[in-house]
Amino acid sequence: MTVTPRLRVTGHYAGVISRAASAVLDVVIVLVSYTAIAAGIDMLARAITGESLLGELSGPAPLLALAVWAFLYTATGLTIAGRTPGKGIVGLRVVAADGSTLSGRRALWRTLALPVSALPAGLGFLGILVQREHRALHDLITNTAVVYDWGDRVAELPGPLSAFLARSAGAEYTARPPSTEQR
Amino acid sequence: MKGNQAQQHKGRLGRFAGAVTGRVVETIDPDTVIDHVDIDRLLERVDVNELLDRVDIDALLERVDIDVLLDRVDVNRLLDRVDIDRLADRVDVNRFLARVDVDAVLENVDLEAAIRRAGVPEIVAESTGRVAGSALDLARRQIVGLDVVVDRVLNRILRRDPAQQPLGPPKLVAERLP
Repeated sequence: MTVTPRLRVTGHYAGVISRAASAVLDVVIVLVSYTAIAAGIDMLARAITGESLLGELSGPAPLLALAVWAFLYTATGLTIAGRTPGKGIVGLRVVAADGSTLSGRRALWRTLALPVSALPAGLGFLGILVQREHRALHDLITNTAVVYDWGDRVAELPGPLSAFLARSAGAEYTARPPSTEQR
Repeated sequence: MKGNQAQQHKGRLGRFAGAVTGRVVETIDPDTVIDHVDIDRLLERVDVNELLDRVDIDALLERVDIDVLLDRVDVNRLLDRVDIDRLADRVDVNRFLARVDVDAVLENVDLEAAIRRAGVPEIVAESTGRVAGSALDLARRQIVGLDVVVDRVLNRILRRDPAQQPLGPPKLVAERLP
Protein backbone atom coordinates (compact mmCIF):
# COMPACT_ATOMS: atom_id res chain seq x y z
CA MET A 1 0.00 0.00 0.00
CA THR A 2 1.49 3.32 -1.04
CA VAL A 3 0.91 6.47 1.00
CA THR A 4 0.23 9.61 -1.01
CA PRO A 5 2.21 12.52 0.38
CA ARG A 6 0.29 15.62 1.39
CA LEU A 7 0.22 18.17 -1.40
CA ARG A 8 2.12 21.34 -0.60
CA VAL A 9 0.42 24.68 -1.07
CA THR A 10 2.96 27.13 0.38
CA GLY A 11 2.90 30.28 -1.77
CA HIS A 12 -0.38 29.36 -3.47
CA TYR A 13 -3.22 31.89 -3.62
CA ALA A 14 -5.35 31.62 -0.48
CA GLY A 15 -8.99 30.64 -1.00
CA VAL A 16 -12.19 32.18 0.27
CA ILE A 17 -12.60 30.02 3.40
CA SER A 18 -9.11 30.84 4.68
CA ARG A 19 -9.55 34.52 4.07
CA ALA A 20 -13.01 34.56 5.65
CA ALA A 21 -11.67 32.71 8.71
CA SER A 22 -8.77 35.14 9.08
CA ALA A 23 -11.16 38.12 8.68
CA VAL A 24 -13.48 36.76 11.37
CA LEU A 25 -10.52 36.25 13.71
CA ASP A 26 -9.25 39.76 13.02
CA VAL A 27 -12.68 41.28 13.69
CA VAL A 28 -12.97 39.36 16.97
CA ILE A 29 -9.44 40.39 18.05
CA VAL A 30 -10.06 44.04 17.14
CA LEU A 31 -13.40 44.18 18.98
CA VAL A 32 -12.14 42.36 22.09
CA SER A 33 -8.96 44.43 22.32
CA TYR A 34 -10.88 47.66 21.66
CA THR A 35 -13.37 46.81 24.40
CA ALA A 36 -10.58 45.92 26.82
CA ILE A 37 -8.67 49.12 26.09
CA ALA A 38 -11.82 51.25 26.36
CA ALA A 39 -12.75 49.59 29.66
CA GLY A 40 -9.20 50.16 30.95
CA ILE A 41 -9.25 53.83 30.00
CA ASP A 42 -12.71 54.22 31.54
CA MET A 43 -11.53 52.57 34.78
CA LEU A 44 -8.53 54.90 34.86
CA ALA A 45 -10.77 57.93 34.23
CA ARG A 46 -13.10 56.87 37.04
CA ALA A 47 -10.20 56.45 39.43
CA ILE A 48 -8.79 59.89 38.60
CA THR A 49 -11.86 62.06 37.96
CA GLY A 50 -14.56 59.94 39.57
CA GLU A 51 -16.65 60.07 36.39
CA SER A 52 -17.16 57.54 33.61
CA LEU A 53 -15.58 58.53 30.32
CA LEU A 54 -17.62 56.15 28.19
CA GLY A 55 -20.92 57.48 29.54
CA GLU A 56 -20.19 60.91 28.13
CA LEU A 57 -19.11 59.63 24.73
CA SER A 58 -21.87 59.57 22.16
CA GLY A 59 -22.31 59.93 18.42
CA PRO A 60 -19.56 58.98 15.98
CA ALA A 61 -16.62 59.26 18.46
CA PRO A 62 -16.60 55.62 19.63
CA LEU A 63 -16.97 54.39 16.05
CA LEU A 64 -14.17 56.68 14.91
CA ALA A 65 -11.96 55.40 17.74
CA LEU A 66 -12.80 51.83 16.70
CA ALA A 67 -11.96 52.61 13.06
CA VAL A 68 -8.63 54.18 14.08
CA TRP A 69 -7.83 51.17 16.26
CA ALA A 70 -8.73 48.74 13.43
CA PHE A 71 -6.58 50.75 11.02
CA LEU A 72 -3.60 50.73 13.41
CA TYR A 73 -4.06 47.01 14.07
CA THR A 74 -4.14 46.10 10.38
CA ALA A 75 -1.50 48.54 9.12
CA THR A 76 0.98 47.64 11.86
CA GLY A 77 0.57 43.92 11.30
CA LEU A 78 0.92 44.16 7.51
CA THR A 79 3.90 46.52 7.69
CA ILE A 80 5.86 44.48 10.21
CA ALA A 81 5.01 40.90 9.26
CA GLY A 82 2.93 41.05 6.08
CA ARG A 83 0.01 39.64 8.03
CA THR A 84 -2.46 40.55 10.73
CA PRO A 85 -2.72 38.30 13.80
CA GLY A 86 -5.82 36.66 12.29
CA LYS A 87 -3.98 35.92 9.06
CA GLY A 88 -1.02 34.62 11.09
CA ILE A 89 -3.23 32.13 12.95
CA VAL A 90 -4.83 30.83 9.75
CA GLY A 91 -1.44 30.80 8.00
CA LEU A 92 -1.78 33.52 5.37
CA ARG A 93 0.57 36.27 4.21
CA VAL A 94 -0.01 39.35 2.09
CA VAL A 95 2.55 39.79 -0.68
CA ALA A 96 2.94 41.99 -3.75
CA ALA A 97 1.16 40.64 -6.84
CA ASP A 98 4.41 39.18 -8.18
CA GLY A 99 5.12 37.43 -4.88
CA SER A 100 7.72 39.82 -3.52
CA THR A 101 7.62 41.01 0.09
CA LEU A 102 5.04 43.65 0.90
CA SER A 103 6.57 47.12 1.34
CA GLY A 104 5.49 49.41 4.17
CA ARG A 105 3.91 51.89 1.79
CA ARG A 106 1.95 49.19 -0.01
CA ALA A 107 0.82 47.79 3.35
CA LEU A 108 -0.49 51.21 4.29
CA TRP A 109 -2.29 51.67 0.96
CA ARG A 110 -3.82 48.21 1.22
CA THR A 111 -5.18 49.02 4.69
CA LEU A 112 -6.66 52.28 3.44
CA ALA A 113 -8.17 50.53 0.40
CA LEU A 114 -9.80 47.82 2.50
CA PRO A 115 -13.06 49.81 2.99
CA VAL A 116 -13.34 50.11 -0.81
CA SER A 117 -14.06 46.37 -0.96
CA ALA A 118 -16.42 46.54 2.00
CA LEU A 119 -18.45 49.67 1.24
CA PRO A 120 -20.40 48.57 -1.85
CA ALA A 121 -22.26 45.97 0.26
CA GLY A 122 -19.14 43.85 0.39
CA LEU A 123 -19.20 43.33 -3.35
CA GLY A 124 -15.48 44.05 -3.55
CA PHE A 125 -14.82 40.84 -1.65
CA LEU A 126 -16.56 38.77 -4.36
CA GLY A 127 -13.27 38.81 -6.22
CA ILE A 128 -11.86 36.38 -3.64
CA LEU A 129 -14.56 33.92 -4.70
CA VAL A 130 -14.63 34.35 -8.45
CA GLN A 131 -11.35 35.97 -9.47
CA ARG A 132 -8.75 33.51 -10.78
CA GLU A 133 -6.15 34.66 -8.27
CA HIS A 134 -8.64 35.05 -5.40
CA ARG A 135 -7.91 38.76 -5.20
CA ALA A 136 -10.46 41.20 -3.74
CA LEU A 137 -11.01 44.72 -5.04
CA HIS A 138 -8.52 46.23 -2.58
CA ASP A 139 -5.95 43.59 -3.66
CA LEU A 140 -6.41 44.59 -7.30
CA ILE A 141 -6.21 48.32 -6.49
CA THR A 142 -3.00 47.99 -4.45
CA ASN A 143 -1.52 45.20 -6.60
CA THR A 144 -1.28 42.69 -3.75
CA ALA A 145 -2.25 39.05 -3.20
CA VAL A 146 -2.78 36.73 -0.25
CA VAL A 147 -0.94 33.40 -0.14
CA TYR A 148 -0.60 30.44 2.19
CA ASP A 149 2.43 30.77 4.46
CA TRP A 150 2.77 28.73 7.63
CA GLY A 151 6.09 30.26 8.60
CA ASP A 152 8.76 27.60 9.22
CA ARG A 153 6.40 24.77 8.34
CA VAL A 154 5.16 23.74 4.91
CA ALA A 155 1.51 24.52 4.12
CA GLU A 156 -0.19 21.27 3.13
CA LEU A 157 -3.53 19.84 2.15
CA PRO A 158 -5.12 17.09 4.28
CA GLY A 159 -3.90 13.59 3.42
CA PRO A 160 -7.23 12.16 2.13
CA LEU A 161 -7.88 15.23 -0.05
CA SER A 162 -4.30 15.04 -1.35
CA ALA A 163 -4.91 11.42 -2.32
CA PHE A 164 -8.20 12.29 -3.99
CA LEU A 165 -6.64 15.16 -5.95
CA ALA A 166 -3.69 13.00 -6.94
CA ARG A 167 -6.16 10.48 -8.39
CA SER A 168 -8.66 12.83 -10.02
CA ALA A 169 -7.00 16.17 -10.63
CA GLY A 170 -3.68 15.05 -12.05
CA ALA A 171 -1.01 17.71 -11.94
CA GLU A 172 -3.39 20.45 -10.89
CA TYR A 173 -2.20 20.52 -7.30
CA THR A 174 0.92 18.44 -7.66
CA ALA A 175 3.50 19.54 -5.15
CA ARG A 176 6.86 20.69 -6.35
CA PRO A 177 10.04 19.57 -4.60
CA PRO A 178 10.70 21.80 -1.53
CA SER A 179 14.06 22.87 -2.93
CA THR A 180 12.40 24.75 -5.80
CA GLU A 181 9.90 26.56 -3.58
CA GLN A 182 10.56 30.17 -2.76
CA ARG A 183 9.27 32.21 0.10
CA MET B 1 75.88 -26.17 116.80
CA LYS B 2 74.47 -27.81 113.68
CA GLY B 3 72.53 -24.63 112.80
CA ASN B 4 75.68 -22.52 112.97
CA GLN B 5 77.56 -25.00 110.81
CA ALA B 6 74.78 -24.95 108.15
CA GLN B 7 74.72 -21.16 108.05
CA GLN B 8 78.50 -21.03 107.68
CA HIS B 9 78.26 -23.64 104.88
CA LYS B 10 75.57 -21.60 103.04
CA GLY B 11 77.58 -18.41 103.39
CA ARG B 12 80.59 -20.05 101.88
CA LEU B 13 78.57 -21.52 99.02
CA GLY B 14 76.94 -18.11 98.38
CA ARG B 15 80.26 -16.35 98.20
CA PHE B 16 81.58 -19.15 95.97
CA ALA B 17 78.51 -18.92 93.67
CA GLY B 18 78.80 -15.13 93.52
CA ALA B 19 82.43 -15.36 92.56
CA VAL B 20 81.88 -18.13 90.00
CA THR B 21 78.57 -17.03 88.37
CA GLY B 22 79.99 -13.86 86.89
CA ARG B 23 82.92 -15.77 85.38
CA VAL B 24 80.61 -18.56 84.08
CA VAL B 25 78.17 -16.09 82.44
CA GLU B 26 81.06 -14.27 80.77
CA THR B 27 82.47 -17.56 79.53
CA ILE B 28 79.26 -19.21 78.23
CA ASP B 29 78.20 -18.43 74.63
CA PRO B 30 74.51 -17.14 74.78
CA ASP B 31 73.72 -18.94 71.51
CA THR B 32 74.65 -22.22 73.14
CA VAL B 33 72.23 -21.53 75.97
CA ILE B 34 69.47 -20.47 73.56
CA ASP B 35 70.01 -23.60 71.51
CA HIS B 36 69.26 -25.59 74.63
CA VAL B 37 66.04 -23.68 75.33
CA ASP B 38 62.86 -25.41 74.11
CA ILE B 39 60.91 -22.34 72.89
CA ASP B 40 57.69 -24.27 72.32
CA ARG B 41 57.70 -25.66 75.82
CA LEU B 42 58.48 -22.21 77.13
CA LEU B 43 55.59 -20.62 75.23
CA GLU B 44 53.26 -23.35 76.40
CA ARG B 45 53.93 -22.25 79.93
CA VAL B 46 53.12 -18.62 79.08
CA ASP B 47 49.56 -17.56 79.92
CA VAL B 48 48.85 -15.28 76.94
CA ASN B 49 45.63 -13.90 78.44
CA GLU B 50 47.41 -12.92 81.62
CA LEU B 51 50.15 -11.37 79.50
CA LEU B 52 47.64 -9.34 77.44
CA ASP B 53 45.84 -8.26 80.60
CA ARG B 54 49.05 -6.67 81.73
CA VAL B 55 49.51 -4.76 78.46
CA ASP B 56 48.24 -1.16 78.56
CA ILE B 57 46.72 -0.86 75.07
CA ASP B 58 46.13 2.88 75.39
CA ALA B 59 49.72 3.54 76.32
CA LEU B 60 50.81 1.32 73.45
CA LEU B 61 48.64 3.16 70.92
CA GLU B 62 49.81 6.52 72.19
CA ARG B 63 53.32 5.54 71.29
CA VAL B 64 52.31 4.54 67.74
CA ASP B 65 52.82 7.24 65.10
CA ILE B 66 49.84 6.62 62.80
CA ASP B 67 51.22 8.84 60.02
CA VAL B 68 54.44 6.89 59.86
CA LEU B 69 52.45 3.66 59.89
CA LEU B 70 50.20 4.85 57.06
CA ASP B 71 53.17 6.11 55.06
CA ARG B 72 54.49 2.59 55.08
CA VAL B 73 51.23 1.13 53.77
CA ASP B 74 51.23 0.52 50.02
CA VAL B 75 47.60 1.32 49.26
CA ASN B 76 47.79 0.21 45.64
CA ARG B 77 49.12 -3.16 46.67
CA LEU B 78 46.43 -3.38 49.31
CA LEU B 79 43.70 -2.58 46.79
CA ASP B 80 45.14 -5.11 44.33
CA ARG B 81 44.48 -7.76 46.93
CA VAL B 82 40.85 -6.71 47.37
CA ASP B 83 38.35 -8.72 45.33
CA ILE B 84 35.96 -5.92 44.35
CA ASP B 85 33.40 -8.27 42.79
CA ARG B 86 33.23 -10.37 45.91
CA LEU B 87 32.97 -7.23 48.01
CA ALA B 88 30.16 -5.88 45.81
CA ASP B 89 28.36 -9.21 46.03
CA ARG B 90 28.36 -8.98 49.79
CA VAL B 91 26.90 -5.47 49.81
CA ASP B 92 23.13 -5.53 50.27
CA VAL B 93 22.18 -2.51 48.17
CA ASN B 94 18.51 -2.65 49.12
CA ARG B 95 19.35 -2.65 52.80
CA PHE B 96 21.76 0.21 52.23
CA LEU B 97 19.16 2.23 50.33
CA ALA B 98 16.53 1.49 52.94
CA ARG B 99 18.72 3.27 55.47
CA VAL B 100 19.10 6.35 53.25
CA ASP B 101 16.83 9.23 54.26
CA VAL B 102 15.91 10.41 50.78
CA ASP B 103 14.00 13.43 52.08
CA ALA B 104 17.02 14.63 54.01
CA VAL B 105 19.24 14.12 50.97
CA LEU B 106 16.83 15.99 48.70
CA GLU B 107 16.60 18.87 51.17
CA ASN B 108 20.23 19.62 50.43
CA VAL B 109 19.80 19.33 46.66
CA ASP B 110 18.85 22.39 44.60
CA LEU B 111 16.39 20.51 42.40
CA GLU B 112 15.37 23.64 40.51
CA ALA B 113 18.95 24.34 39.49
CA ALA B 114 19.48 20.68 38.57
CA ILE B 115 16.36 20.67 36.39
CA ARG B 116 17.44 23.94 34.77
CA ARG B 117 20.91 22.55 34.09
CA ALA B 118 19.42 19.43 32.54
CA GLY B 119 17.50 21.63 30.08
CA VAL B 120 14.09 20.28 31.12
CA PRO B 121 12.28 23.65 30.75
CA GLU B 122 13.54 23.98 27.17
CA ILE B 123 12.44 20.43 26.37
CA VAL B 124 8.98 21.05 27.86
CA ALA B 125 8.64 24.37 26.01
CA GLU B 126 9.80 22.82 22.76
CA SER B 127 7.48 19.83 23.00
CA THR B 128 4.55 22.03 24.08
CA GLY B 129 5.21 24.36 21.15
CA ARG B 130 5.45 21.40 18.81
CA VAL B 131 2.13 19.96 20.01
CA ALA B 132 0.46 23.39 19.71
CA GLY B 133 1.96 23.82 16.23
CA SER B 134 0.71 20.39 15.18
CA ALA B 135 -2.82 21.15 16.40
CA LEU B 136 -2.76 24.51 14.60
CA ASP B 137 -1.48 22.89 11.40
CA LEU B 138 -4.22 20.27 11.61
CA ALA B 139 -6.88 23.03 11.73
CA ARG B 140 -5.12 24.95 8.95
CA ARG B 141 -5.06 21.87 6.74
CA GLN B 142 -8.82 21.48 7.07
CA ILE B 143 -9.35 25.12 6.10
CA VAL B 144 -7.06 24.80 3.07
CA GLY B 145 -8.92 21.64 2.13
CA LEU B 146 -12.22 23.54 2.22
CA ASP B 147 -10.61 26.24 0.04
CA VAL B 148 -9.69 23.64 -2.55
CA VAL B 149 -13.15 22.06 -2.49
CA VAL B 150 -14.90 25.44 -2.89
CA ASP B 151 -12.44 26.35 -5.66
CA ARG B 152 -13.16 23.15 -7.55
CA VAL B 153 -16.94 23.64 -7.23
CA LEU B 154 -16.65 27.22 -8.49
CA ASN B 155 -14.45 26.16 -11.37
CA ARG B 156 -17.09 23.68 -12.40
CA ILE B 157 -19.93 26.23 -12.08
CA LEU B 158 -17.95 28.86 -13.99
CA ARG B 159 -16.79 26.22 -16.49
CA ARG B 160 -13.16 27.07 -15.91
CA ASP B 161 -10.37 24.68 -16.69
CA PRO B 162 -8.59 23.96 -13.36
CA ALA B 163 -5.36 23.31 -15.23
CA GLN B 164 -5.38 26.90 -16.42
CA GLN B 165 -5.79 28.34 -12.92
CA PRO B 166 -2.68 30.10 -11.57
CA LEU B 167 -1.42 28.45 -8.38
CA GLY B 168 0.27 31.51 -6.91
CA PRO B 169 2.39 34.60 -7.60
CA PRO B 170 5.20 33.90 -10.10
CA LYS B 171 7.97 34.51 -7.59
CA LEU B 172 6.51 32.02 -5.14
CA VAL B 173 5.38 29.28 -7.46
CA ALA B 174 7.42 27.79 -10.27
CA GLU B 175 5.92 27.38 -13.71
CA ARG B 176 3.37 24.56 -13.91
CA LEU B 177 4.73 21.41 -15.48
CA PRO B 178 3.07 20.41 -18.80
